[in-house]
Amino acid sequence: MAQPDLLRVEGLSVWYPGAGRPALADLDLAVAPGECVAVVGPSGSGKSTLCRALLDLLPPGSRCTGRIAWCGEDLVAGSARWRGLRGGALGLVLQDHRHALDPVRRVGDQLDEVVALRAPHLDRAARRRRVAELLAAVHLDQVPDVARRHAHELSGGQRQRVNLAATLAGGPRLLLADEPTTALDLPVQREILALLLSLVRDAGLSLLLVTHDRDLVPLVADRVLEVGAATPAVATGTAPATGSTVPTTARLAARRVHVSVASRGGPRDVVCGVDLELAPGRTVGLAGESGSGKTTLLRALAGWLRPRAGSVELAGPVPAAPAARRRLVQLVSQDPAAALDPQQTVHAAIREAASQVAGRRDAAERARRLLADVDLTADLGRRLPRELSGGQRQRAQLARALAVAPWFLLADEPTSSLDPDRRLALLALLARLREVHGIGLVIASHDLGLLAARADEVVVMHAGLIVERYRPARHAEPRHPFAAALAAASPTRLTPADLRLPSVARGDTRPAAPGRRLVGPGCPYAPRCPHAEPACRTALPPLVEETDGRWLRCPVRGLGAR
Amino acid sequence: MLRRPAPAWSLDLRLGLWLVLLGIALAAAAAWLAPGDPSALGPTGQTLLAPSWRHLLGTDALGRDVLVRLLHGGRVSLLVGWASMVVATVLGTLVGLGAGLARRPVRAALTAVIDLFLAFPGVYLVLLLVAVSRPSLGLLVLVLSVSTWMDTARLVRTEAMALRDREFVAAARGLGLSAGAVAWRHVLPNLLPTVLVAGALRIGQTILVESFLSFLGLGPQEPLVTWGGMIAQGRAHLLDAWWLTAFPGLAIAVTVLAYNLLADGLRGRFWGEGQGEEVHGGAA
Repeated sequence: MAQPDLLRVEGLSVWYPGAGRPALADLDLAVAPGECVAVVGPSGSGKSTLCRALLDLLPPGSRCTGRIAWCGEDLVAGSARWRGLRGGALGLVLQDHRHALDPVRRVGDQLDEVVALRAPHLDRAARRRRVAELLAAVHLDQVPDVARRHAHELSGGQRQRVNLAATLAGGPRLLLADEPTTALDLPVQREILALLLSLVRDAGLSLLLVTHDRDLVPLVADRVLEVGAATPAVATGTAPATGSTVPTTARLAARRVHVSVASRGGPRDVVCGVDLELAPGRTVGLAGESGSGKTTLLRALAGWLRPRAGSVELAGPVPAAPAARRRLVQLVSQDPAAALDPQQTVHAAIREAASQVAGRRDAAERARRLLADVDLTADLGRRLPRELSGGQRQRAQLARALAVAPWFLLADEPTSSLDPDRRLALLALLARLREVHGIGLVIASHDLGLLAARADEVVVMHAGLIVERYRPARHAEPRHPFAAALAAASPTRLTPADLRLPSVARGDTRPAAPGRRLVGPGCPYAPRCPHAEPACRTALPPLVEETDGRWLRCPVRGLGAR
Repeated sequence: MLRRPAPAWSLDLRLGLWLVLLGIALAAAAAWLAPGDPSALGPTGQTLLAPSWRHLLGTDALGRDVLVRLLHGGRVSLLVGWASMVVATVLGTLVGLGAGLARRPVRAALTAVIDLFLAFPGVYLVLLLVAVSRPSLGLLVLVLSVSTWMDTARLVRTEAMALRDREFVAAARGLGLSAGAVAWRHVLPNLLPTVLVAGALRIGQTILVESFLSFLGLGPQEPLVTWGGMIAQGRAHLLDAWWLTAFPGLAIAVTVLAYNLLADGLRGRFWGEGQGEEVHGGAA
C-alpha cells in the first residue's frame, strides 16, 4: 500500500446507554486523501452516531467496539491525540448554522479566536490577515464588512460559510460534514455543496459527507456508503384516528393580515396584507424562500401570533370556549425538536393532546393508534424527544397535532427533516387525512415543484407579500419571476452541472436576509429580477387577477387584468 | 478499547451528596448516639476539659460534652435550613410562575411585589423581627423564608418568560390546554433543574444566616442547642479552650460547603455535560 488511508474504520458498533440494539452495527469505512465519500441512510440509521464516534464525542456510558485509525494509527478513546485531531486535522462542519455561532460576538472576532487557538505564535495583525484569508476561502470576501457583522446579520448560507471558515482555521485534512445543508434553502444548499467540493478539489482535502438526501449524493461523492436498512412505508391500512369528520361549512380566512416583529429600529412587518381562505378537504401550498413570511403567516393563522392589522377568522360550527377554538387549527412546526416538550415522552405528549377531546381511557388508546398511524413503534413512544431522530420527532409532532381532531392542519416545511422515502409517505398520509376526514391543509415549503404536484392552489410569497396565486391543475407554470426562479430550484430539476458552475460557487453576495428588504417603495424582488424595469423600482405592483384566472403581482410578466 | 469513562457523577456531586447525607444521618441519629439532654449540666470538675478519649471534642464551661452538643446543634441547623428552603422555594416558584406567565396586570403586580421585597434590607428585617418577639424555631423559619424567597421568584420568573416564548409552550396552548395546565405540565418541569440547584444553594446560605443569628443570641434559645450559640458561648474561652469555638465553626463550614458542592454538582449534571451532543442532535 503506497499511501495509507486517511481514515479507516473497521467493525465499528455503538450502543447507547440502556439500549439493547446497537445504534450502529459493524461498520467499515475508509477515506483516502483527496477522496469524497458520502454516507447516506434514512434518519435513525446511525449517521450522526458515526460522526460522534469519529470525533470521540459519544455520550458517557455508551459502548463502542471496533477500530478507528487515523493515517494507519489506532485512536484510543479519551486520548490527547484524538482531542488534538478534533477541530484540527479532523474538521467538523456542523448541521445547524443557527446555533453554531455565538450570537453576541462579531464574526471576525470568533474566527480570530479559533486562529489564535490553532496558531498561538501569530500576532494581532497576522491573525487578522489569516481571518481575511479564511473568509476569502469560503467566498465571503465580497460581502462588505463581513468580519464586523454579528451572526444574525448574515443569511443562513453565509453563516454556514463562516462555520466552514472556522473549520478551515484548524488546517483540516478531512472535513466531516454532518448534513451540512439541511437547514438551508435549496439554491443556497447548492452553493454550499459547490463550495465544499471546490475545497476538496483545490486544496486536496478529503470529505466525509453525511446526508439523508440521496438526490445530492451522485453529484458529489466518489464513493457512497449506505447505512441502515430500507425503511418501511407508512402503514396505509387504517384511516388515521383523528375522530369525526370536519364540517363542510368550516372556513379559516386571513383578511388583510399584517404581522409585525420587533427588530432594530422598531417593529417591522414580515407579513404585509395577506388574504387567504382555506376550506375543508383542500390543500393550499405556500411557497417561498426562508424569510418570506411563510412561518409567520402560519403562526398567525394558528393563533400563536396576533396580527398587527387585519384579522384571522374561523367560521363554521365553532365552539364558544377559546381553548376549544384554538384546538381546531393545528400548526406542525418546521423544527420538531423545539415544538415538543423536552421533558415529556412522545406517548405522553400525544395522550395529553388526545385527552382534550377524549376521556382518560380513550386518550391512551387514541395515542397508541396515532403512534401506529405515523409509523412509530410503542418503544419509540416511550422515549423523550431528544432520544429520537429528526424524522421521528417530526412524525411525533404530527401525531400530536392530529390527536385533537383539528379542522385545519398547517404544516411548515413538513418534509425538510425527512428522507426521500419518508417524505413521500408523509405527504401520502396528509393526503389521506384530507380525503378521509376532510381536513383542510396548508403545506409550506420552499420546494415549489413538490407543492405544485400536490396542492389544489399554490400561493407564492416573497418578502411578506403574495406575489402569485395559481392552480397547478389549470395553469401549469407560475409566471412571476420569483416564482419561476423558485420552481427552477426545485430539487427534481437539479443536475450535476448546477454544482460545477463557478458563478454559483461564488454567489450568495445578496443582502443579509434576502427578501426582507421591505423599506423601498418598489417591488421587493426587483433587485434580483431579470425582467425588472425602471417602474418596478419605484412603485409596488398590485396583486391583480389575470385573464387566465391566476392572481399575479407583476405587470411585466402579466397577461393583463381580467 | 474505545470505552469512555463512566457517566456523569462528578466529584462535586458525589462528595456533596455524601456529606449532605452524612449530616442528615448524624442529625437524625443524635438522640440515639448521644441520649439525654445536651443542655444538662455535667458533673462538677469536668469543666473545660481538652479533647480526650473520654470527651472526643472536650467539654465546655458547664462540663457538657462538645460532641454531644454538636450533634444536637446539627438538628436545629438542618431543620431550619431545609424548612426555610422548602417554604421559600414553594412560595418563590408560585409567585415567579405567576409573574412570568399570567396576564399583563397580574404579571406586573407580582413582579412589583417581588421587587418590593427585594428592596427591603433583608438582614435588618430579620434582626428586627427576631429582636421584637421571642425567638422560636417557627419564627426563625418564617423570617428566613420570607426574606429569601424573592431570589427563587426572580429566577423562576426569568426562566418562565423564556419558556413562554418557546415553541412547545405555544404548541401546548394551541392544543387547547388551559394556562394552568401549560404552566404546571410544560413550564414547571422544564425549570425544575434551576429550582433544585437554587434550593440546594439556599440551604447552605440559610444555615450560615441561622448560625449568625444564633451567635448574636437571636436564634433558638436554650435548652435548644445551636452551632452559632455554641460559638458565642465559647468566645469567652477563645484562648484557653479553642475546641469550644473551633468544632462548631468547622461543622458550619463543612455543612455549607456540602450544600454548595451539591448545588454545583447538580448544575453540572443538568447543564454541564451533554451540551456537545446537542450541537448535532439532528438526524440519527
